Amino acid sequence: MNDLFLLAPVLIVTLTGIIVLVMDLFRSPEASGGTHLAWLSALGFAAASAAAIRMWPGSQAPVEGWMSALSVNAFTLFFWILLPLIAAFSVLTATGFDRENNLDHGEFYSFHAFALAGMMVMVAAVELFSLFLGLETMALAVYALVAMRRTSARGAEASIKYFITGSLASALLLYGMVLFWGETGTLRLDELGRVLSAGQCGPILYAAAGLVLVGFGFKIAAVPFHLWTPDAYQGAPTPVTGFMAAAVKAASFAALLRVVFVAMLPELFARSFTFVDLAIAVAVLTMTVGNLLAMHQEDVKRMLAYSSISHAGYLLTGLALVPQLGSGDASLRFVNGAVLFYLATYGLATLLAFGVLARLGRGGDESTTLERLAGLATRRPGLAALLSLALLSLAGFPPTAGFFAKFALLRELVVVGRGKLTILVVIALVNALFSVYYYLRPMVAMYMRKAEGEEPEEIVSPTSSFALILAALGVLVLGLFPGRLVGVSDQAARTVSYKVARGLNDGSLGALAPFAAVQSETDPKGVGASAAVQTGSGDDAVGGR
Amino acid sequence: MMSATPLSWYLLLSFAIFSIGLLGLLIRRNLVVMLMAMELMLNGANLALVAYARFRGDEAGQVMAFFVMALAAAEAAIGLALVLAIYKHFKTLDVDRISRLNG
Repeated sequence: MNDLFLLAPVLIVTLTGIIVLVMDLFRSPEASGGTHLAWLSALGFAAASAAAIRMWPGSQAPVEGWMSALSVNAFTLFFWILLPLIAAFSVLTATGFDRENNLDHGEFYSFHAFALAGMMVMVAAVELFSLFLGLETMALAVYALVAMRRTSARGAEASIKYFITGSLASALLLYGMVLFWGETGTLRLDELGRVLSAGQCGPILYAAAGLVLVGFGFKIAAVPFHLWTPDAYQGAPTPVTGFMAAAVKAASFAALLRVVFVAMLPELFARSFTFVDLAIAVAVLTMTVGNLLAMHQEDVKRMLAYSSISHAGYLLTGLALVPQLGSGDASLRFVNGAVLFYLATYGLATLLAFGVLARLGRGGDESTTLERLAGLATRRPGLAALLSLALLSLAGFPPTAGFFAKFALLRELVVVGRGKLTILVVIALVNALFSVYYYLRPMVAMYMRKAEGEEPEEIVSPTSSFALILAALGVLVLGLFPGRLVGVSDQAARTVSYKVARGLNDGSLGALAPFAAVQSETDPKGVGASAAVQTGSGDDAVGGR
Repeated sequence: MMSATPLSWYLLLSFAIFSIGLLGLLIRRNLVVMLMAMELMLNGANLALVAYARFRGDEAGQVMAFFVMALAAAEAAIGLALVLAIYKHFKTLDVDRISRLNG
């Protein structure tokens, strides 16, 4: 019974999906518009998010359910709040697009719900097999979403490419897990961590770790496993692309962080040199390759796909944030709060960008190329302004949330890296500068060029406008007043750690953790103080069952 | 009863099946064959699961194997549906000739 209450947000989402499907059955075929279905699913997702907010703070003892497979702590709840909100925005911004493309059926919305339910299981899992099942539930629903436009050859092509790389990733992940289970007899992340740190790490376990990490590499589109991303993102229906870029990426990152920090930290980070260098190398490659390829794209949708690859690179520096530390420094064994903050703001800005792109071009004819964007500012000044805001946030300009996220992440690299990560910081900064070029190109097109020939039309949809304006407000508010979210993401991040479980240094954590320092600067009201007090409890890795 | 065959033999076989699947997926260009290769990879993992389960005397592995089978079925269903959609649009199943998206 208790378990069911714990899972309330996931159950609400699943139920929403089923209700939407059933309601769709009773819709007469000639009735036009599934906007009410979009609203219904958005409300369901919002309710799930609200339920997760009510369960916050996850400061009590770690709450585990379902045979210790899922853990509902602050980290889990952070994503249980974030992911349904992303999904809600995404279905609302999809309404106009769906009408034009004949997608506004129950399936479209319920697949969002099922994908979301999978993600929520995935971010809550503290046991590899549950994580895998959550991931597959998500992936299967998203494959279908990508292929949803039955008349579109590009949609089918995008989906098959996504499906093949996705299933390859799952198979690698699965084989890695099987090896872990066979060699250690457990799939619980904390127990795996203990076994691995005991130091009997044979070649099979290294192979298992490698397979699992490569599997995740595909999922988060890290270079060199990124080749599917531009095609899948470009061919998918635009609102689905936004959902993939924001939600799927956030959920995969959350799961990756948990696996790396709870299970693999001791073995792969503490002792071995190569893994650290490898993580940094992949981060650098990912951000650089993503940026370079984004530069000359003529289609904004495809450009944003490459931009999402480069953002994955920035996020991957979060993995590099740990290892530089000396072994006695417990604070650095946490996931860094700046990474979660970055994920949230990046998700919001990406949703906004794809939400606007979804409005361009009528009758299933997407006009997202730079050429077709020309003159948008005179035709639809509102849409142009919203898209500009999203691009500025992605580029990291000051009043937006993206600026603060980049600032916090780089600051962490400087402070936590203690000078050893300077090169990484410089590379990230140079990358951020170069990325400004391609983020400004669409704005130049919208504001400074006139449309040539026949002017493309835009989709009119009040529901979508409403959601877009909300998202834009979010981008601005989080940029101007980041304190609250910083506190929350910091608290959430600290519940995923390795060393704290072993009782190292609990008392001084608040003082040691640099992200807490940023937060007390920006948030004098003391969200930070409470976050510091609660560290260590609600921990994934607290021993024993 | 423990069988006389040692665990490592099962693991080698499972690894061989998995590798054949992986190579098939990377090398073959026909979508249906690629789907079959994918199934091979999952079944390789499954064989390792049940072998480990038997030798460890831990039934959890058998249970997980059932989940993997269900998953493989779901994946095959979606995969075949996509293959049909691809054939409808492109009139070919050769992945090298399926490309309308590019930068």
